[in-house]
Amino acid sequence: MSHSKALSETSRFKAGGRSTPERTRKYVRMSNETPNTENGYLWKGLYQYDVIIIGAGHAGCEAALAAARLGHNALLITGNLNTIAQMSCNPAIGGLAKGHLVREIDALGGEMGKAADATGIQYRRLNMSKGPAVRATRCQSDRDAYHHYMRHIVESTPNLTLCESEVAKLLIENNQIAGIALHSGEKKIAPTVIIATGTFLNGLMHFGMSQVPGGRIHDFASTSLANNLDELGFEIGRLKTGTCPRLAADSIDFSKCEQQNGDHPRPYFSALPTQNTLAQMPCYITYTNSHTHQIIQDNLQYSPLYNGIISGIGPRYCPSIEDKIVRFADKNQHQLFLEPEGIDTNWIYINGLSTSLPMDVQYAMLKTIPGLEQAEIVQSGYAVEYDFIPPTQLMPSLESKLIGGLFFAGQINGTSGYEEAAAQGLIAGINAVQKIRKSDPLILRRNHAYIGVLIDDLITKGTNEPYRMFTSRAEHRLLLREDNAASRLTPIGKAFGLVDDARFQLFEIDQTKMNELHALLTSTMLYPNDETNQKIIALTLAPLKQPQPLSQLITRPKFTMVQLLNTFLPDHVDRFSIQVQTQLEIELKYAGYINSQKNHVLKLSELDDYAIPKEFDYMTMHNLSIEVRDKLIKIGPHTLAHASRIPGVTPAAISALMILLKAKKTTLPIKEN
Amino acid sequence: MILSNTDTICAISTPAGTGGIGIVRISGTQAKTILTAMWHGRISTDKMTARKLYLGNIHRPDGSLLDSVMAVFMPGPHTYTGQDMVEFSCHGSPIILGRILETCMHHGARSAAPGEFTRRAFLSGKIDLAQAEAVADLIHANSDQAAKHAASQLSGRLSKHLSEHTHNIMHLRAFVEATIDFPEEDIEFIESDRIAKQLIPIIQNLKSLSNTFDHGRRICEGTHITIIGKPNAGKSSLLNALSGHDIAIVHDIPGTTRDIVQTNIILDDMCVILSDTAGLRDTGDSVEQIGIDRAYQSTKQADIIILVHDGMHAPDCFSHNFDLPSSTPVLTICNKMDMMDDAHVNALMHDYPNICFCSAKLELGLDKVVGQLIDLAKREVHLHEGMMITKLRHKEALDKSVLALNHAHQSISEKLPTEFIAEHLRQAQDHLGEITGAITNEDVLNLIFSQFCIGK
Repeated sequence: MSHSKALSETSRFKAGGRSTPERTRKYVRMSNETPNTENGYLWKGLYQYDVIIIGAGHAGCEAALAAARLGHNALLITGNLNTIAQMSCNPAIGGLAKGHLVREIDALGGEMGKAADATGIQYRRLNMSKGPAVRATRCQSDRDAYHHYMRHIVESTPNLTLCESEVAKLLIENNQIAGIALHSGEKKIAPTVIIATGTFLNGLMHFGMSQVPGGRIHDFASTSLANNLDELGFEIGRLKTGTCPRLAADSIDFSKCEQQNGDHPRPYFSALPTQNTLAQMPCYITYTNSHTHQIIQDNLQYSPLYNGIISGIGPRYCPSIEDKIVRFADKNQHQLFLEPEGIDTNWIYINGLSTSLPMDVQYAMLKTIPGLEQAEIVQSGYAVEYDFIPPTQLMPSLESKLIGGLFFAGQINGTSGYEEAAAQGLIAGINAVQKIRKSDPLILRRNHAYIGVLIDDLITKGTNEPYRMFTSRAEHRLLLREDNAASRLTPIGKAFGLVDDARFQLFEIDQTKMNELHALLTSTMLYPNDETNQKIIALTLAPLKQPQPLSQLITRPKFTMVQLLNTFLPDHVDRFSIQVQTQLEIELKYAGYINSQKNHVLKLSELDDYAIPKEFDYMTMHNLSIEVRDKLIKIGPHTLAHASRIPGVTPAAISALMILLKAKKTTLPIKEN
Repeated sequence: MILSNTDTICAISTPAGTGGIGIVRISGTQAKTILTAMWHGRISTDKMTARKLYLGNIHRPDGSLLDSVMAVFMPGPHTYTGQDMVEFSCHGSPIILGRILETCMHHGARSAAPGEFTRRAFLSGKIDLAQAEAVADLIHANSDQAAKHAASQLSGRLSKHLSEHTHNIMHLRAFVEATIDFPEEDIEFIESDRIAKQLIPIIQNLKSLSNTFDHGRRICEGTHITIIGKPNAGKSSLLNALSGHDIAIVHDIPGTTRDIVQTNIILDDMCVILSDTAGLRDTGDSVEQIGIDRAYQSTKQADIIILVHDGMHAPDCFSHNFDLPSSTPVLTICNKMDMMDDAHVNALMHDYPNICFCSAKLELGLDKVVGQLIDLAKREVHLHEGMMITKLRHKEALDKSVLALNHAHQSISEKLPTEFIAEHLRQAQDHLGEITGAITNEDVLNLIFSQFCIGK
């Protein structure tokens, strides 16, 4: 069997057919055999793939899995097989807006939700009292288990080849990506490449006053790829982030700390069932005090953040302890979370103590903190500075404007967080495939998904600090809930081919059940008789005066679907899953708010219908100010709605653009190349 | 604010200022519904033939009569904008036109942006590209001008006032959004009732600012001076003398001026709208009574009232009490000085130093009248300078903002979850942003990070 034959057989594996992995292609072949080139798999005697993904972090893994599951040959290159899907910072997934992202990734057919469900050691839902759209799921993960889970999935997915190596440069032909060259000199050919290198480009770690090149502790920094991107004409920015020290669990006196347990029953991220046999563990909370603060004050000159050695901009939502002490001098204590790193490890992540102070100062600080007096540091905290590609250089598909077929995803785009990275990876993976198929990219709108908000913000406004998702970034927050992620996105995932039949079937069952329950509530009338009103009063609700259906009764505040079903439809309680009950409860209870946002979306969406051709020549629009024209040229908006979100583009400019766009296509000012 | 092309818009289509006739246009799906809501005519709107003019009255939202107008309904797509349109031809007073516009907006229309009717015309294929490009230029020029204008319109005090409220709302939002986005942070968040308490002064202030609109618009259009007095005191003569034209019918039969006669004059660079009214007396003539009622109505809207006495009845007439608004300054004039004995005039001048003596007919003593009017008008303008809004669009934004803040307040008292409070506050700020410039999500995040120590 010829080599190319093997490949084409591999590509017949469908997504989800992981049970019979094609082992022979797990690691890249270094053989010098010259296979035949008759069906176009080979080019200049080198191996060809459909998609090459550089970096196997959270973005890279989702990208590679998406491309491979869509039936395309993907090559995933990592510098270190033992750090696939590594959680470089704290061992947790989800939280506000991030939990939303994970649900969305899952609804589209991504892996992160399942991985988090399988490897978590504590699960909680946050914000339960603050409104349906801002409830979020969060888990503590077993760091090693997460890595092993993801490595196993990546290794066992057909069409996906894993390679441990370092990329030296990109191969470009006529402004199109053609492949990559490894440090070994070897070349890999592909029409699409996704760069997901995280913090590795020109990474520089700061441990107190000493600097070590590297993207993560014990890992290398990628300088040649960074230089290559610079040479190719990409604008490069520099950011900074930091991570906290890790402590030895057996050196901590947990009895002096507050204990924080997970929820019972535990919540899930994925719509698909997952096995998780890991023991569940608590977190602990302790606080800094004035003694701790004094030590930090006294040693600020040794913090590279304060003595000017670090020039990159750090995230404001994740300030170092030095930052907190200086900027919020009036606070006499700061909260610290002690998070277990896993079941089989003695390591504790101390969340809230991000620092780049020298080791001796870190020890002196710990001595002052209740529970940590004897704590031993097993890995020091450090700051890392790295290059990023200001994401305004990307199209909404995450393909770069500069080089066709070259995509960027994850932290290299200036984001922070595993979830933000994974979301971009998924979209880049899907869109690399769409590019190969010459089909339209998947572009989620701001009212579709947090993923839409994320990418739109990045490509439209750029960022000058590591970008993290917050629910307050989403203007249609009430529509973007965790509970309705599947309703919003699973049909889209299905249309793009990443949602497999099993998942879609589950989704359809839920939808049918929801319609069934809705019909049941609408058709069950309550009448203001004694029997009914006694039941209602027993629920501490005001009695009925008029007949009304259950679908109206559920809109009363402080009244839940569970209560309603138990009281009025006890025979039906078990017929509907909690997911179905919750989602319908929210849709009915807050229908007024939800509809008002939907109307708002409808109004805005008029502008989405105006596509702006890529070659549109803004310089001919003399009625726009130079400043506005420059902004439009820089971002190159894909629709009028997108143009309207560019900071500094005025409503008047949008009006003028709209008129031109409405004009016949032949009369549009198109740049001639 | 980005404008939709499908909602219903309205605008005054005739040039600014007072003309004989004014036209108000409505375009959009709700045009006919809005017409129906305002219309009181012999022919009801569902019986109207398209593109045919009908005479009828239009009423304010409170049911009171606004104006007698000609109305036409034109169904799309064969209209200028391609959408359903309604046009009112009404009386040309800017006040009436403004009120009609407000009534349209009360029923769901939005005030149109510069060039918006033409933009819609283009988008529905009614005009060609060359015309459209001209319109694009125009829109841009207009809105630039409007923006400059708007900026200068927001005088120091008003803009300070508004930005203070925007700032206060943003602070409340920062609190609320921080509680939502950082539930695990060790932050002392303010409680909902404290937010509710802080909302009340903001709501009250914005409401009273919105209420300055009527006054502001009048100052903008010109100072309104209403002349009143008993029949035949020489009110019309005074109007004519001050304006230099024979506008009012001057006749010595009492009760000649049965309606209000208006003229614009320039007083020391100030635009003044002078209204002559029917003479005030008890009458059995129902038509005359309408005129008298209108005269009193006019004093309520006046910035300055000129009370004219017939010198022939002085000083007895000075003690007559008219039912005038207490807060409006009154300039009392004793007319027909020429018909009086000089010694009598001198004695009266001594006894009544606050009364101006003149002869409108012979234009004697008018300098003093004009001088006093200028003083009063300047005082009026100065009194309100900076603390009032003059643009209907600003009023619209303020009212919507107040509504959203009220909803926020209500959702706190109903103990709705935090995110709904947040939603109303965001809307309130978005509406205010239409006047002061938009506040972005990023602005709120900036405030959160500068105020709270966020970060595990």
